[in-house]
Amino acid sequence: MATSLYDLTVVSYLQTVRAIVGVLEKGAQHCRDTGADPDDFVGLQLFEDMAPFHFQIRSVAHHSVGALEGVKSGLFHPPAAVGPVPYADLQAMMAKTEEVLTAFTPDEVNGWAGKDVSFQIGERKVPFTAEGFILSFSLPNFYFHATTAYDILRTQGVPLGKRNYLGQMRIRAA
Amino acid sequence: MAASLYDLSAASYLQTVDAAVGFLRRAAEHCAATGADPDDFVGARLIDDMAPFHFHVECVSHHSISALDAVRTGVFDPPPLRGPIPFADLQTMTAETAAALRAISPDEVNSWAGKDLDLQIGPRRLRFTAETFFLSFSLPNFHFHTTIAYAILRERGVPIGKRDYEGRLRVTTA
Repeated sequence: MATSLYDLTVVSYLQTVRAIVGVLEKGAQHCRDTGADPDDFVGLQLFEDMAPFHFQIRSVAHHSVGALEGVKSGLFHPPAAVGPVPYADLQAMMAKTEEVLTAFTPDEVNGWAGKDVSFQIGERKVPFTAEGFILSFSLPNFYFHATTAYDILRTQGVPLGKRNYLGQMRIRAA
Repeated sequence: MAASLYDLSAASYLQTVDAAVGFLRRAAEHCAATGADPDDFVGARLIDDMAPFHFHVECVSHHSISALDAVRTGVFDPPPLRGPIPFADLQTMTAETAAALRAISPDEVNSWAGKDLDLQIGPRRLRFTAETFFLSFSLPNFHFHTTIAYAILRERGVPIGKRDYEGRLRVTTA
């Protein structure tokens, strides 16, 4: 028994994207409680030469829905450089990501199993199979950016714990 | 074609554990070059109420080699935490984890496909399959702790970038 491409991708992405929707809502709630402005989070960096919060959130979308679009077309590109947007727009982006992920069907995604996928960086093309791309490139990057976004809010005093990052695990009914 | 249990677990862990071995070495080299003491990293945290560096590095092993042991034995039982041990010992621990991951055979791991698990994890009893344990519990946690260990070093001036986190991608050979 092998794991389907749909379970590797859509199901895994959804667990964490839904978790990040919740993390962002906790950030907004914290601001309502304290009178802080959530837009002040948007440009924050964990460290001055690391990417800002808005890029981390955009990357969660790019390494999930964007990864699936890359597998579908056979070509994945680095995320476009887009500037800061209001915090509420980042929340809308995550909600939209969840919606788009939910709309993929197992048949459609599983139809891409074994497909060639290239990651294009400038002139260079890095060749993968769909599975290699997802397991060795997409999921590590996806979790990296989700964690870093979580870390930024956490270091700003938003009351978060690892359960909020982990989300709803796929456990069996007792 | 989709992913084997070995590919989504041991091969994925190994890519990132090897990367962690590399960025720990970069940190040690950085200290050797600047006269800093790598043992000063051991207790470092992103913020006061988050776990220290040594805990995150230990968790990299707990959520990789100990996750495989959990599926083999049916019991999630990572070794006791070793606490604030010297930086060089954290490097050794991570290198040993990489060696142990290399020693596991694909056939053995793949023979666990579809296995039901009923795991005691902290205060909770959670019913997974081998696949959902790796995909919904272990990998998100694994990357969470590896990303934070990386971020702590990065924040303290170790010259590393996301390539160092990604490690060696599993590309198709031409």
